[in-house]
Amino acid sequence: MSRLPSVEVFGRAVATVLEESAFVLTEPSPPQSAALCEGWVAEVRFAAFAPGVIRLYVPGELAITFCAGLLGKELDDEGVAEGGPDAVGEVTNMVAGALLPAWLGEAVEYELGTPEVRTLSQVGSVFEPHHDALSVWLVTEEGLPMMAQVQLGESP
Amino acid sequence: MAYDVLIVDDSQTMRALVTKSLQLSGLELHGIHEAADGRTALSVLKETWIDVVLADVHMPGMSGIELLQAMRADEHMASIPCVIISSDTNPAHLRQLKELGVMAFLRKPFRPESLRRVLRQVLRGTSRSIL
Repeated sequence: MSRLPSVEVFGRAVATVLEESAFVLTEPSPPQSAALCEGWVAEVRFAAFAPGVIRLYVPGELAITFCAGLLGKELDDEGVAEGGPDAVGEVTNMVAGALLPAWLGEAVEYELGTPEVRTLSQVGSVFEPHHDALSVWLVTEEGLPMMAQVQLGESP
Repeated sequence: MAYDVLIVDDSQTMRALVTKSLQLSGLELHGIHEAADGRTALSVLKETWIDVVLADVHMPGMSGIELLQAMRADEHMASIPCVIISSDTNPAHLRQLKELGVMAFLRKPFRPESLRRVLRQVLRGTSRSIL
């Protein structure tokens, strides 16, 4: 039996947080790693029954949308473009906070780290299939792809 | 009465979001102060009158829990009410926050109406924790 969450639980946690925090509506999508543009990868490490990490890959344009949505601002308002990476980190933090109780149960104790945000090129390949990782792909109403991933392991 | 609020969160976006929610809350505000971690928050608390602290849990350097422990150990800060705004609903952390006298917990993402409701309760002088 897999120790990872189901696709449904993970996908629902991500989609709900995106909608409630940044007002971004998404739908499940097939993997799109061949068509990736430069963007941001945010990671939040956790420790529960095993250590692991929760990642979001978000294209640069969508990161700006996250920031605008969180703050209730327009895309071209002052500070919104610069706030994209921080917004991706904060959304990843919220996804981690939503996923762990949904996956492990409300009573389970866990520890969360603080978000780390890097560019996709700095991170390198996080899209290769891994036996202890689950990835879900989503696409926004505007057709922008994003990926959420949970991976178990000490230093994944 | 106008209130001074201290927002403690390492995310600039979250500080901006909480600030905007406060500005829209209808609460009479004298000042909104910000700190990116617990240690900076303690410096602000030593120098400025603060009516309520809104703090995250996970921050680099000094966490929200460590900030609360430091506040409760300082006679000048011990009675300042705190509201936690965090994604972390770990039951052990919630118990610890309650023991430290946290007045309320808002789970991220939160609605501005929830912050307004909680702040009205806290600033009205509710003596009992609503966590």
